[in-house]
Amino acid sequence: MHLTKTIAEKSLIASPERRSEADADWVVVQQVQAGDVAAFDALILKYRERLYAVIYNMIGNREDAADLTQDAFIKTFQSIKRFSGDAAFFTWLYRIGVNAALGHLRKNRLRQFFSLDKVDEDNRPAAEVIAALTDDRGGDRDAYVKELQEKLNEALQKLSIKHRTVVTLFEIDGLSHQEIAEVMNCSVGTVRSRLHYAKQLLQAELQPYLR
Amino acid sequence: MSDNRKRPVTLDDLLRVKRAERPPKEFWSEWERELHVKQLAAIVEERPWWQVRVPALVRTMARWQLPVGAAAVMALTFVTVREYRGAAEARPQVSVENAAPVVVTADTASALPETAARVNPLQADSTTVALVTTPPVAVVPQTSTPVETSPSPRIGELVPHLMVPTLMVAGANQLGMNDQNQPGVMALDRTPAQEPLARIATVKDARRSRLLDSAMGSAYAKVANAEMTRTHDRVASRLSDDRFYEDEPGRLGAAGDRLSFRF
Repeated sequence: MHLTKTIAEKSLIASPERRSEADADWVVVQQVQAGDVAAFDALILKYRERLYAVIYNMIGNREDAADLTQDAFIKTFQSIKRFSGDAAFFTWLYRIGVNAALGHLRKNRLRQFFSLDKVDEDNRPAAEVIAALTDDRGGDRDAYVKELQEKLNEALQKLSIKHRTVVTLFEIDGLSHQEIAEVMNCSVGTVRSRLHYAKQLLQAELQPYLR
Repeated sequence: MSDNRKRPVTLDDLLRVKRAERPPKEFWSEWERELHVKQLAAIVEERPWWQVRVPALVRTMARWQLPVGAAAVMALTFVTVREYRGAAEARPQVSVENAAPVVVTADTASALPETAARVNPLQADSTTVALVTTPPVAVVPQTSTPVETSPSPRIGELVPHLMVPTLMVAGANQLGMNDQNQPGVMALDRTPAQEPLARIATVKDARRSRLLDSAMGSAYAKVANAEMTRTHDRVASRLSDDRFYEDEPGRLGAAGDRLSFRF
């Protein structure tokens, strides 16, 4: 009889992929806790792009997002001995990252500078959308894409921090409602409500680009 | 091309574009290098003790939250009650309940010099009485029927009025000034008040008038004495005015909706 429960049994992680991912992470975390510092690099490699994307879409500045992602990993490493496995590692890591982004946003509430990454044209769904929007535009396609990026960022920044975080975690990173609720320390109903409201606002803001 | 043009664009499509915003591959090599530098710096840099010890202590105490909290509340309650009792016991016994009215006649007042007042015979003015803390004592004339004083509701009002006459009586008895048939308070009124400036100026002025009198004759002495007397009167009058206003809080006062000036 197993006395110790797995991460997936203890926390409410929805999808089976996430469950197996969480269990695998817990094994690596135990290695790090046992003194295998190099094992932490595997966790960095696995989550750096996702965590960066969440922070970047929250604050809209690539340099600050890179710094905050590094800080989040260092903080995670420093306090990894405290991680008891009650929740999934990525939930814990995301919480640290999201809190870092929220702290940054509060600190720099009055002065915000945006610097955006380029759209990855190799990403097929995105390329199709851009093609649909810029098919009849000819030479000024790049300028139009840049303008679209700025409008998207502007619309996101008009949302409140909480609504922006929910949209980012759900739409950009693809977390489930339950996982977002764990990261943001709120109920699933609150997450759904915020998501619905945020989408309504985005719809209104981006109406000229919809058809 | 024509398919793309007809394709509807939804909010989810636009968010896909947002999702496709990614840094180039070379960005991550630079990022990783910076991360290792920061990691090393974080390891080398010694964290302050409160960042290490306090969270550890909080974690340890978190298991015992309820018993520790209950013990803290009990200890605080115990200390507070104990402090309150100690303060109540240490409080002076002069209170409305404890201060029973004491009836003192002039006979008994003469028996109080040690406890009530210490009066220096050389400074036997009505103004120079050293106060000591004694229970409130009422002084009444000696009569055949005992006069009882009823306790006043406010001891703060009672003490100043009762203590000073008692002390004066005690001092007066020491000096032998008090008459057995007169109330003690009235006995002190026989000593006339003298202005301090008049006492100080007298010696100097006498010497001065003596010198000038010998030099200029007796005419100057008369004029000088008359002038000096007027000056003394003016200064004494001025001092009396000042004393009159000394007890007042100030010349500028406000009560209710009025503002008063005193000239």
